[in-house]
Amino acid sequence: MSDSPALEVIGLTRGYGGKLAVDGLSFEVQRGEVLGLLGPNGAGKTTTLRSIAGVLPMQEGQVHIAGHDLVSDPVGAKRSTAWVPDDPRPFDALTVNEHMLFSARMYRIEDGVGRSRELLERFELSSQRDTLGSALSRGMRQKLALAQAWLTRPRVMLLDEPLTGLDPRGIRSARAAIAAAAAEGCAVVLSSHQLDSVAALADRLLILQRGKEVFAGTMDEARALQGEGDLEEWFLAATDEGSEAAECTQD
Amino acid sequence: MHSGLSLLARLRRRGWWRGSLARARTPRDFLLIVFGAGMALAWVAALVVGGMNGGAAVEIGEARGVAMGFALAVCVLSMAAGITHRGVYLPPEELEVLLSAPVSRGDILRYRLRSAILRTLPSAILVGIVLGQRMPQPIYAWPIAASWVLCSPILAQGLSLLLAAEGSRRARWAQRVPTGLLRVAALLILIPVLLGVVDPEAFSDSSVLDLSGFLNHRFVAVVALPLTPWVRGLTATSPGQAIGWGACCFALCGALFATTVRIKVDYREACLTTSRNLAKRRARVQAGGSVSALELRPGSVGLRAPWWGGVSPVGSVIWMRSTEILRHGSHVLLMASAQLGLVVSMAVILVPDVLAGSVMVLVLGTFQLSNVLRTDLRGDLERLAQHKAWPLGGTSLFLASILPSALLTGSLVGLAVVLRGLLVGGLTGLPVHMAIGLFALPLSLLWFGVENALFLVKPVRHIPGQVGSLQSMGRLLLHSMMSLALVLLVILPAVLSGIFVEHYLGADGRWIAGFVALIMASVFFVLVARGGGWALGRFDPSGLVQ
Repeated sequence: MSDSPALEVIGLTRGYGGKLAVDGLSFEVQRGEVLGLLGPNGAGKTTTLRSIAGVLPMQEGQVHIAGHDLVSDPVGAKRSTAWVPDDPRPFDALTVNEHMLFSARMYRIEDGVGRSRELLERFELSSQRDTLGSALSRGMRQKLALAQAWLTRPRVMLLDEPLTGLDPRGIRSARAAIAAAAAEGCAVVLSSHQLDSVAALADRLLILQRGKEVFAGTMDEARALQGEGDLEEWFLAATDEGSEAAECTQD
Repeated sequence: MHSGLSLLARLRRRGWWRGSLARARTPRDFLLIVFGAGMALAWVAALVVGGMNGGAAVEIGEARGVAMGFALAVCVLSMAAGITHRGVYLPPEELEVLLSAPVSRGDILRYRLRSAILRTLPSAILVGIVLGQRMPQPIYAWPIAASWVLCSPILAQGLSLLLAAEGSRRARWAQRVPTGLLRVAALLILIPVLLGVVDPEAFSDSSVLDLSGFLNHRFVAVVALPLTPWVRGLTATSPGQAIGWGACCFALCGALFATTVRIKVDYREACLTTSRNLAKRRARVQAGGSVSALELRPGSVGLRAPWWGGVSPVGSVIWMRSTEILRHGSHVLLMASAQLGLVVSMAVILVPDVLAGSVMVLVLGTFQLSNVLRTDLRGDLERLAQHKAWPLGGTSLFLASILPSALLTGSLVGLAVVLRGLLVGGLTGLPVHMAIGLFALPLSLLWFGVENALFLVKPVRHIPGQVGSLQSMGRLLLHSMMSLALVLLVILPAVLSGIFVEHYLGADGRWIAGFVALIMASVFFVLVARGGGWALGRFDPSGLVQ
């Protein structure tokens, strides 16, 4: 395997109705690395993830996933990616187990049945395996989306608020699963407002403000900038436009 | 009514107008509103003019039959709604606020009933106009028919309140009432009534759907006795009769309203359940509507389609769609039967020509079922973002998504064509009907392809009465006209070549026409599939979710 990054984003630009949501964003994520994607509401995090997932057409820029160009080889790029949206919507008419089997076939996973059983166990969905998608709670839908993402053995995982709606036990399992996926060589982009979880999992941080990068660096670099305060205070100051801390962070 | 609730009602109405205006951001949006409203007004105007010209020729006995059937069907539908949804329905944004507000339960009832009546008003006026045109004096019949439609939410609400007390004997009884059968019964009454409105002679002459015998039955006459003022008012021939019976109808409506808001029942428990269920259904309707909007029964989990195509992304999409249809099986069967039943009945009764009737079932049946069986991309609007992330090419995903619904529709319509042929002509001409029936498959594939491709270019979620509904109606009409134009492009060369062969070569032109139609449908389908794949690729879900 070459040293090329698992995910490479170059000059990603995307707007809505003439207003840019993401403006020339570039970053890389290496194999086994967790990138924490932070930013206030409307900063462009979800737009970034949806563009990389191939859901939103990009206006400008390039995305390479595991060596596949998203524009010229979208199917290859998508086969290497797992995307967990912020509000997963399972099919009403399919059971939990059938969602797993469906994903297994969609991504041509050979040991789909065994792996499904294992993942349903890991995400505490075994007792819900015959429950219809329409009957799942918010937390259960989130767990199912995570289990489906893990099932496909992706090279790149795009997680948009994956911990929202989960109970404390669910949060702990999801965090452990993210760490395990990274340890197995998967590149993870984790967008979340739960700063403690991001701090615990991420190797690097990328902070967005109005679609632009305001900070990109390792956790150690972020901690150096935090000084005495905690991550939350530093994040609030960094994304408070016009503040001294924000200017310092951007510098 | 409590002043706070009056204010809320006013503000919500104002909000509806504000929201509708806010949706019209570009000149194109305004044009669509004008187009939607214009078409609706033109239709209503045509009905009014038609009613004024043709009303007087109606025979009073037939008109009473139509009026009784209409009143009975509305009554049965209201009762089914009242039994199914017990208590009071409050939309999610009002549920917690109103139940915890310092207002009496009677005030909440008044507020909800007034909102429901106001929402029913446009359809009441429309139904009044449609029904009125086949009554002896349309001008008398319109307000009386409208008053009965306006009574339906009050009737449903009254019944639902009487059944609202959880655990009571009445509530337990209500749970055992087969409301689905009640709705089927209402539809069986409505079909001949509709035919009676389209063609009054068909109502009494038809031996296929004879409703008059049923309505004249002693038991039905006794049950329908409270409907007498409406039946007599609808068929009034003099101003005196109309005023007398009309006053009686409106007084009964008022009395029903006053009695309903005074029913002393703690409906909160039933209200929470009903509101939750209806809110879920509303969300499903907004997500795509039709069959997929109906709730699944847990027992349906046992039904599963085989894995078409083995382990492949295309096969898995086809499997998912097939399973979805299978699990909605009873709904699919009910809705398809109702739609095809109406189309076949119309073709049998209204179109005497054997070949023209079959073509009518073919085209109208495909059009109707494609609107009902939206278990394709149109029914999955909220999930399209997730579909786009699947590792599958646009054209493959497009084809796999429409295939099960289109094949099912083609098979059902094909069967309906053959059935109609057997009903009208017996075994003679069966090969021709079977050939037309076989053409249902390519036509259905083409129609579903065109509808889905157009939907992806500009998705339309038309829910009558919702914010921006005039605009979405305009767009929907435009879509339908474009679909029809594209399908005509297939049929027209076929018809022309058939005529050419028959006139100039002296051979049987029908088979040539069928062959040409098949070739044209195949070519267009390939083009539409490519276009659909392209539309799926450029489809931008950001406007839906963001």
